[in-house]
Amino acid sequence: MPVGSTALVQALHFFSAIPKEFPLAPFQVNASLDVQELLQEALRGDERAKALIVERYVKQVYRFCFRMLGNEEDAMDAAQETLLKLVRNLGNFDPSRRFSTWVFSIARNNCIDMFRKRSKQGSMPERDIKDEGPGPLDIAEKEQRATHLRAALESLSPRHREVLLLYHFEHLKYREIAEVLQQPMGTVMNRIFRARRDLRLAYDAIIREARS
Amino acid sequence: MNQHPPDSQLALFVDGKLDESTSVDLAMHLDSCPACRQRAASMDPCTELCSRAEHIEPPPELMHRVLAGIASSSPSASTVHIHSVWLGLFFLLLASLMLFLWGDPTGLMAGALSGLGGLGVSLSALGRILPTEGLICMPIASLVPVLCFLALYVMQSNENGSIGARST
Repeated sequence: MPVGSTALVQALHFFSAIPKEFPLAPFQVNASLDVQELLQEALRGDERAKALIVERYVKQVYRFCFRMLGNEEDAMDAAQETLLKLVRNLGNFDPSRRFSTWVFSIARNNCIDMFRKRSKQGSMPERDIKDEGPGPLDIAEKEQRATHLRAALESLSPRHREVLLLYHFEHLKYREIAEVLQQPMGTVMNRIFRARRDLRLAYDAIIREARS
Repeated sequence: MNQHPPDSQLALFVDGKLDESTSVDLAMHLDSCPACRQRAASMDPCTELCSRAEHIEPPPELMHRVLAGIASSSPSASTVHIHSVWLGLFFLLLASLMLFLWGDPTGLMAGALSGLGGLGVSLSALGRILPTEGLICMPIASLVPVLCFLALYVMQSNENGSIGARST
């Protein structure tokens, strides 16, 4: 094929690759990119990359906020605030850190703000305890156990609850938890040991109360 | 800590009965050794307890609310693209007008320069969406008006030449 024809074919290929809705839709980034690559694209102003970062962390962030705060409304507000802060401050991310620990740091700070707001207002919202309706025995028992665990977790102090959530529910490593909390490893270890002990005590107390 | 800790030491670690520096050393080891982390987890009653937790899914409206928040807070890239393309089209229109009104070499030069600017702006807008292809297009964008200018200039010269020949 002559050089001119090749150039023409390439030019046609280029123009056919432009999205039909151009210029309203941004170029679609690949959803399989890792977080670092998505971060690069997002920092270049790619809205789709920002949406993909949010999509990737929305579950973890909501789950953490829900377990920290104990109700859907506050968890929604805290998770929304966390994800918006995340996207707005992508430029401030320190690449020497792990991205997920940075995300959890933001989520944790928002949960702490929410606790402060609650204490200022002097009101604690009702817990969203699921209705244990009739059903097969094992399902009811499983739900009951989950409800007791949730109550036990909520009886812990926020400091103890957060370390347990990060370790046992989000499966972060010890040094990552230390990074999220910005505390030395020794402090984190002490908190985890105390939190584990308190959780077991609280859970046993709730079980005893339920049985009596 | 390079060696894998024995079960007895792991059990003490899980119960928080080791001194702080040994606990920290062991924790560092567990962070880098999935097998020991697994062994420690199996000794920890909290692992089983936490596995009873209910499955939590975010409400679908959370994602919509966040995306709406992002869209409302950030200056839209697509708006920038639209502005760039309009600016490019304006330059191209200006170039056409110049070529139409002043068909002499000066007008042609001005038209060609405006055309070059217009195409440059339009294609740089494209380049922001498709960076690699955009870079390839920039030299093409620069060449097209120059070639047009040369072609028109040659045509003009031929016309003048033929008029001149006819008059003589």
